[in-house]
Amino acid sequence: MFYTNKKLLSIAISASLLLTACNQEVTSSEGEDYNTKDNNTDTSFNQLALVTQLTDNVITPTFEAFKLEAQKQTERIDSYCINEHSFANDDIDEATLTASKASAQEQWRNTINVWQQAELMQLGPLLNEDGLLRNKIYSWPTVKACGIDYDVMYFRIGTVNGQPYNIDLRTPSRKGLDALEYLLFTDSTEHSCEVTAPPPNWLTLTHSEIKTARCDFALEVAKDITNNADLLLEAWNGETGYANTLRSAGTTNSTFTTEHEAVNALSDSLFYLDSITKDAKLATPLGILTNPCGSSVCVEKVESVYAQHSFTHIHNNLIGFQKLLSGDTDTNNGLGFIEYLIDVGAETLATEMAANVDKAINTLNTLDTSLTETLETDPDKVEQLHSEVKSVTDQLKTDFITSLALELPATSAGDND
Amino acid sequence: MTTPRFTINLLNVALCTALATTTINQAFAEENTLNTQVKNAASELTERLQIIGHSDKLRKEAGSATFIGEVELEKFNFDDINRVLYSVPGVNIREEDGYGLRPNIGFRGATPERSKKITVMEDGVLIGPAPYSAPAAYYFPMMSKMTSLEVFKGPAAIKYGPNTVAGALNMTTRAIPTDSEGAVDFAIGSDGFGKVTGYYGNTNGNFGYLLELTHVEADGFKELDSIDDKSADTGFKKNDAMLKLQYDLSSKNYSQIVELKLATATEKSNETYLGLTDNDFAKNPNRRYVASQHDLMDWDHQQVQLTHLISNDKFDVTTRVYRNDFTRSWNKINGFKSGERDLQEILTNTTNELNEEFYQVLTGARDTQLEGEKIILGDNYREYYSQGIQSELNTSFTLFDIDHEITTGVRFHQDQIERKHTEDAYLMVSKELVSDGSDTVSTTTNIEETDAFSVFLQDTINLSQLALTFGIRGEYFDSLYQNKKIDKKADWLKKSSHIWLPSISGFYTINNNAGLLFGIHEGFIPTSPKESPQIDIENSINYEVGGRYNNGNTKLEGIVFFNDIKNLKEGCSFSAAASCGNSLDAEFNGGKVDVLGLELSASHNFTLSNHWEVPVSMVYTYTTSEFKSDFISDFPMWGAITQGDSLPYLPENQLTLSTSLVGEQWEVNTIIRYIDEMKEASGQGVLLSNVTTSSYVVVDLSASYNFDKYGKVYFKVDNILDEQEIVSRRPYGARPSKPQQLQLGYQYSF
Repeated sequence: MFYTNKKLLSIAISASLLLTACNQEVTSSEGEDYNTKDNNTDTSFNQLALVTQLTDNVITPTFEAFKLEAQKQTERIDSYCINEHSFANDDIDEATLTASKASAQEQWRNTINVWQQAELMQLGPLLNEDGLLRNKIYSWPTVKACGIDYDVMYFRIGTVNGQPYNIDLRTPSRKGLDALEYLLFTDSTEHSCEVTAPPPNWLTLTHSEIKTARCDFALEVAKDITNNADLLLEAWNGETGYANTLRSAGTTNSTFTTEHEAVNALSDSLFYLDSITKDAKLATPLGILTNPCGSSVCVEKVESVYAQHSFTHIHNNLIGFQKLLSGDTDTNNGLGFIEYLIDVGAETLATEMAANVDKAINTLNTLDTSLTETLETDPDKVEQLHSEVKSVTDQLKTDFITSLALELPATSAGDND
Repeated sequence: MTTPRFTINLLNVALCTALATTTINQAFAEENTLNTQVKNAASELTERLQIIGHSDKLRKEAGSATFIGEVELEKFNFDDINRVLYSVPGVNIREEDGYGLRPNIGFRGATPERSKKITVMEDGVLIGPAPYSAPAAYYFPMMSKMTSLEVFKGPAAIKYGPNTVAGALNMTTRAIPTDSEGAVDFAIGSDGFGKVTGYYGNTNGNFGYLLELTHVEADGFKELDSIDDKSADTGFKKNDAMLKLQYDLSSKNYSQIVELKLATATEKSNETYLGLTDNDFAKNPNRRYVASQHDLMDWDHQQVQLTHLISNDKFDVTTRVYRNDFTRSWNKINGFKSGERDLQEILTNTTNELNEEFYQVLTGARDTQLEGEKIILGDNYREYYSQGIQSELNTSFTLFDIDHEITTGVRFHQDQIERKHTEDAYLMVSKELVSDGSDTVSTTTNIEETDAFSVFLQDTINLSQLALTFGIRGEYFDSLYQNKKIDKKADWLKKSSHIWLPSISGFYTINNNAGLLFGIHEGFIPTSPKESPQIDIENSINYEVGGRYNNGNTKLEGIVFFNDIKNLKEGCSFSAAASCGNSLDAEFNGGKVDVLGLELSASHNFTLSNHWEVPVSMVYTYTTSEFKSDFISDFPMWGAITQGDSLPYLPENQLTLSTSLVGEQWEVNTIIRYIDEMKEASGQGVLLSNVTTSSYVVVDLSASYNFDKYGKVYFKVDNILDEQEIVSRRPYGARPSKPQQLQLGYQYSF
């Protein structure tokens, strides 16, 4: 009896262990559209070469050029500020001051011209922490003129909330290229806050003191932009930089498990042209999309309201887009998305997209007034520009994505459930 | 990849097996039961619907199983399943709406998210809307109509699939009375609470019937911001009607009965996924932002269940055929049109000035000014069905001089979810949501369905004082995912899966009052039909060891459990995080995870010199868990995991103390619960990393006086201390526990 029990017990336990060892199986079949996000194009196109070309010869040079321009910007604003102080002490004449201010403004334009191309290249370090580094450099459409005036005074006083003033800790909308635009292109010495809540000590200052205070803060902002340009390049270049992550896509050294994933990250950045250039910079002030003016023309939603540089911004956005699309730069012709499209047999699409970008750039070249003025006097021209940019983004969202087996970025899908 | 599909007609197999089981055992029984006395078939059926024996004697089943009977349930008349389950060891809960409308229940560390990792049953039948294809339990039976509740963990869970990693919960509805019996119950309470229930049933000869009607409603304790500062209804209305018809076919040799259960239920609840910022919670935990003003859950549930029982002294076979239909429409805020930042991000990082602008629109402090600031309301309309046939045989015999107690069963089950999700855009205008006039956008349109055939066998052999139970469960299922968008017909996936799950458990009887138990079983949770075959199933080996003592007046139980999870799997849903909107229903692998815990329960009944009874009880659960590998996950409750990180929403310590003072016609009861803090996310780099819920103590009190033939009056106070804490920051933002709620009720039985 005891023997029988033991035998039965051992058989049962052995059977249990055997079942545990090989007890499950899954077989499957799937439709050709199932899980398309894992698909890839089935040509032998060298996607890594595309990624490397865009990384090394388009994006990296753009970020490096931005750093150089930012450094020059700091120098010019430094010179202008010295003159603002000298003028306040009656040491120089107004013409000298005006010339140095114009030089600083010109350099701001040069700097932001490069940045507006870099806006199309928001990857890795520019997307981390909810785009914090990008916002520190340029936070539009979030710009708080009143907040900037507050920081002008905090910086002058040297403390904020009982702590020494540290621009690195300040919120992005009070610094960056957008704050610099306000500081360099606002002639009025009135603050931009509610009458009841002026920045501290503002009302006790003379016009001259306000100008020097704004100028001093502009220099601090310019230095901060240079510092952030350095941080961007540090995070981009180097052994563990994001450029290397892109270049090593498909290997264990990269977070991109396939080269195609890296191509998808690059294509995501192109969608700036859709959500920001087309929608925020054109459709919103036009009233095509909801705006604070009741969906009619709304100049207050124009991008560059102080420098009136909006069309140039859009122009540079299109240049940035064009560089990524073609892979070509001023000094280098290489692989771009155009070549990839041709490789997968979408030659017509490649030609049309390139032509549509050219068409929008040509239209911009014919506009000789600011976006604000054109909206007020001839909104049809802005609508035409919007329509031309839309023709590019429509192709981007449909045929481009489908041809190259790419995924729409989540924010552009529009049907996220 | 194309491989042959499972081709056996599963329905035929199930039917044949069920019938064969019945026939074989009828023959077996006929030979051996010439002198069998006919049992009371109705009481036998009741026993089969309830699974655990509940006498005062020492329970000798191996495996952890808890029974809460009608007397216990009536002490507090809880309408919230969460409040009932806090008295069960090894249960972890994430509260959400305060009323338990859509509970999040887990056992022994299983993620509580929508109770989708446990097997939920009503009267022994799967009750989730689509337990295989979409296990998230958006429908949960009304607690008010339940007369008992059972929780199975460990090897005891192997009988009840498909989810066997954590365990099973079975709720039992009222049985048809043997004589004329009825009762009505009226209750009113704070926050517009009202409840009306009533039932009447009788058995005339061989025919029995029962009709039970239940209505529960509340205005809600949340205060919705509005223009005129008059708080709108944030509550709910629930209705349930159940009819049971029974016919006794017993003959000289067999007890035999058939029962038809028909039930219908509805719910309309002004519920939302939108919570609060921590700052706003500190000022008023019950505030609700105006952007949630249109949020409404509207569901409808129908149930048909036919049960047949045949038994004699040697065997019993219970066969059930069931069909559940569930449709739900949940129109609720999903986020902003810009999609750049989700609601959880906006409510978590309010110091970010970009978030601040969206926050102002949410609260109505600012009107929508930009396209991206339009509020997107999504109606996640879904239709489900769940149907099947199952049969279970209990018998015993002697083989090779060993007594065998056999329990075996088969089930063929089909379920389906059809999603027809849409979205609409709204403007915030003067604290009112106004449509922007654009067309409704269709978003997710798909079906997932499963045909599942499952069998189990348990054999308990008695070797002197040691009772050993060997079990095995097999699950074979074919699943289909099909995108229903017109241009996505080729987006489909078919899978065939099978798994065998063994178990062994034992109970060693030390004496009539005490025994030791142990158990090992393998558990699994299937992947959804849509999920890639590359995603592993969740699979675990679960161990438990413990002991029981019961001298009739004092009961003690202590169990140590260890779950060795080979691959923890989680799914993304809106209720998990707003960021899941971009990867809805995606599933994630979490690798190896260990969960270790201790469950203690003790109760004793004191009798005072004046014959008043003072029953006291204590339930304590300690749980610790750790991931066994480093990895980075997009799942918002995980993030960058370092080996040793613990699971989210798993309190380390939980303690429930309850005591009563019972006189001849009156009683007073209190429950004190302590729930430890819980991690909102396990790893780093996700939105709620390093954030925990608050630990808290809740005290509930109830009292009743029985006027004999004039009925019973009862009074209760939930959360007598009226302290509210953050019980969760999901789905979007901080959510409170229920504030103090008073209730006064009257019961009349006839």
